[in-house]
Amino acid sequence: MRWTIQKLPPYIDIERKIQTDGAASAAATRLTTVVKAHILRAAGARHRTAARLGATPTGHLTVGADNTRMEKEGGRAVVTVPIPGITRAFGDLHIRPNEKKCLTIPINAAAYGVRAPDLQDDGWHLFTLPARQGPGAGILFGRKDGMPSAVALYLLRNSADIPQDRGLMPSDEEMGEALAVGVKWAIEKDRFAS
Amino acid sequence: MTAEQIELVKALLPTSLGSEEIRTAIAADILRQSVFSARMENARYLAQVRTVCAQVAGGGMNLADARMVLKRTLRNMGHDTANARGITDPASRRRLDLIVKTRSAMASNAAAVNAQDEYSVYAEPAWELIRFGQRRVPRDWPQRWKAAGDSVGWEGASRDYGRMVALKASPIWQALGSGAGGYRDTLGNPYPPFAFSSGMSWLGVDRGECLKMGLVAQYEQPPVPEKVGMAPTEDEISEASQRAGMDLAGGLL
Repeated sequence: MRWTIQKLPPYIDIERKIQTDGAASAAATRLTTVVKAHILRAAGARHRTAARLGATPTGHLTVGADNTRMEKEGGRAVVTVPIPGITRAFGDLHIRPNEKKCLTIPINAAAYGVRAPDLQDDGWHLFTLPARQGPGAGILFGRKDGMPSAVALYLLRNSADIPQDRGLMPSDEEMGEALAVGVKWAIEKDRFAS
Repeated sequence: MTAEQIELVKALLPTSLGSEEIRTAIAADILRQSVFSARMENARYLAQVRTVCAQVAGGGMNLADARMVLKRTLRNMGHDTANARGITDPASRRRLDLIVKTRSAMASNAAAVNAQDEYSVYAEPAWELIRFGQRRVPRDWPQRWKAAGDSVGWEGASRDYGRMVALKASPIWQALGSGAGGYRDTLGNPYPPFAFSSGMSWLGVDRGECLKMGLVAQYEQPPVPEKVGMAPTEDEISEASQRAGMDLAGGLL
C-alpha cells in the first residue's frame, strides 16, 4: 500500500498556498511515524491464529512496520507500507491463488508461516485428500518418519474471503492529525526558522 | 532513490570470508552496500537474494515465499536443501529469515535516511531507538547506547530521559552501527538494523517532544543527515580492499 501525499485531505483546513513540497514532506514524515507505531502495536495483539494452533507467530506485521518508510519520488512524498494484504484495513479481501493451484490455509502449528515445499525439505511426506463436498478443494496431509499417523496440515481452498480489520491501520482521525501536525511544522519553518 | 533501487544497484561481492572477517577486513562502506551471504560465493544466488529482498522491502513478497524462492535457487544450484539446520546452513529457515529480514530492513531504513530533507527533519528532528521484535535474550541496548554516546561526546543525543533519542544527523547512529564499546555483532550502518537479529529499529520523534528534551531550540533548523552512500564504484572498492590488505577485484562481477 502506498500513499502519495500531494493534496492534503479536505478535512484539514489549511491555506492553499502552503500545499508545497515541503509541507508534503513534513506531513508524510509524521504520517509514516504514526503508521509505523500503530502497526507495531497492532502486531502485538494479532496472534489469534498462531495462538489457536500453538504456533510461533510469523512476525510479518513487525517486519512490515520496520520496512514502512517515506520516500521521495519525483518531488512527491510517498509513504510505503510494504505489508501484503494491508489493504484489509480498508475493506474485505477476496483472495485467489495466482501461480499455485489453490490456497493453503494452515490448520497445524507445523504448517503455520511455512510453505508446503518447505515442509517437504523438513522431511514431511505430503499427500492430499480431495474434498467430496463443501467449498474446499481438499486437505493436505503430512507425515514425518517416526510419526504414528499423518496429520492434517492445510485446508486447500480455491479462494478465501477475509473480513476487514480496520484496526490494522490508524484511524482516519489519527492519520489526519498526523498530516496536520506535519503541515503545522512546515508552516512554522517557512515563517520563522533560521 | 527507492529501497528497491538501492537493492538493485548494489554491487555483488562474492566472498569466502565469514561475517566477522568481512566486517573487520573490508571497509564499512562496502559491507553495508553489498549483498552478503557469509561463505557463499555464488553470484547467481546473491543476485536472487538481492531481488527477493527488494521485493520484500517493497511489500511484493512475504517471508515464506521469499524463503521458498531462495531455497529453490539453492536446489537448482545443486545445494541439498533437505533437512537444512542451523544458522550456518545457507538453506536453513533461520539463515534465510535472517538474510531476508536483515537485507530488507537495511534497504528500507537506508531509503528512509536518504528521503530526509529540511522539512522532514524540522517536523521530526530525531529518531528513537526502540524494540520492534521480542527476543528471548535481548542485548543490552541501553549499555550500547551509552557506549556510543560516550564515543561521540553525546553530540545531538539525549542521555537524560532514559530514552535512546538522538537527532537524525547525530554521529551516535554511526557509532552504534560501528559497535562503539567493542561490540562485534554490528553491521557498520548508521541506520537499523544495527546488529544481527537485534529486534531493534527506530521511530521518528516529533519536534514538540524534541523541544521538551532540549534536542532542538525553538525555530532551530536541525541538520539533515548525510545521504547513505550509493553503490560503491570500482575505485572505492579497490581503495577499500587495499586498506584491508586484500585483492577483491578478481571476485567482482
